[in-house]
Amino acid sequence: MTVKLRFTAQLKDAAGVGSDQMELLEKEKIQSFLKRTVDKYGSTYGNILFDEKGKFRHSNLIVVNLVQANYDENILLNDGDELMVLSPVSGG
Amino acid sequence: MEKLTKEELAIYEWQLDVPGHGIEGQTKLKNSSVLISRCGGLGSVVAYELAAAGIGTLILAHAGNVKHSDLNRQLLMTQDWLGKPRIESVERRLKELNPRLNIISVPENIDEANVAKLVGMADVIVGAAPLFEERFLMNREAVKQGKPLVDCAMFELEAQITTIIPGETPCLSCLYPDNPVAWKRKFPVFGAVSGTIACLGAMEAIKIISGFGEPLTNKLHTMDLRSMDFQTINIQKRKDCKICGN
Repeated sequence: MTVKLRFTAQLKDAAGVGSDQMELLEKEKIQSFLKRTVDKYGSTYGNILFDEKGKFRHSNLIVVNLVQANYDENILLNDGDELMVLSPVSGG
Repeated sequence: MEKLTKEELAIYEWQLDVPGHGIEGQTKLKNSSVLISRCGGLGSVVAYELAAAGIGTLILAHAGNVKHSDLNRQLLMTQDWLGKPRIESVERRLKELNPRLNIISVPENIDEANVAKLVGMADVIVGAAPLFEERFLMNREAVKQGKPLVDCAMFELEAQITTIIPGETPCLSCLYPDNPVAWKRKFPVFGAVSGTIACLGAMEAIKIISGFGEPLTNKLHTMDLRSMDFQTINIQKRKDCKICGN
């Protein structure tokens, strides 16, 4: 089972890719999945996503199948889901 | 409400036939005011398109003088205005296009001292500021005063936009409840990117004022002009939002 991943802005820079896919574990929920993405994409990426205590930075937007998801609700992911993680942007 | 003149009917002829807009919508534009926070790469094109569309009043806030590095994207700045106040160039260029436009120029960026007054003067706000602090200030005040806010932002070849209707949609703090840590102030940018999102921002303001079409309420539209990916994401209010939550 896999989940398609998309990143934007600084997360994309840190991950080194704008889109990718990653194996989804059986009955895996979003919190576990996102923590595993840090193993794949490294600490620079991880520091944008989580603070030094491992707490999720809510300035990042999580989107599952084009619907905003709340990290704290820890929803179940399904095979074929698309997960976007958007780091905040501000420029004009 | 001021009616359209014969000259205005001639100038806006091609947009009067847009279904849902018409003379009534155009009259609403003429009698409305929009606050644009900063007239840089993004805000200058918002201002220009709204001036072209026949908005009655623009309230424009932008501090500082024109620099060389402004000229690749800040389309209301000109080479001969280098070193001079940006807001003066903005006003001059807009008046060349639309001399009927009422402009209230503020040579300051939005801050705690001026935000309540400036938001109070506008029917709609378009946020085109590069700093989160400014955007959060405008968001807070827009929610407090019940004013629609079109929030636009960009980074390199990416951009995003949402329309905030206080009480109905998520506000900016629903999307970004924490202060961002990774955001960089300076990034590579082409004017065509800021111009693209700016045109969308102008169109959102026009739709809100005129009352036609579907603004990006409860939606965040993102684009990546490198890959030509466009996404519209359904977004939600946070019940515990410190600005608009219960």
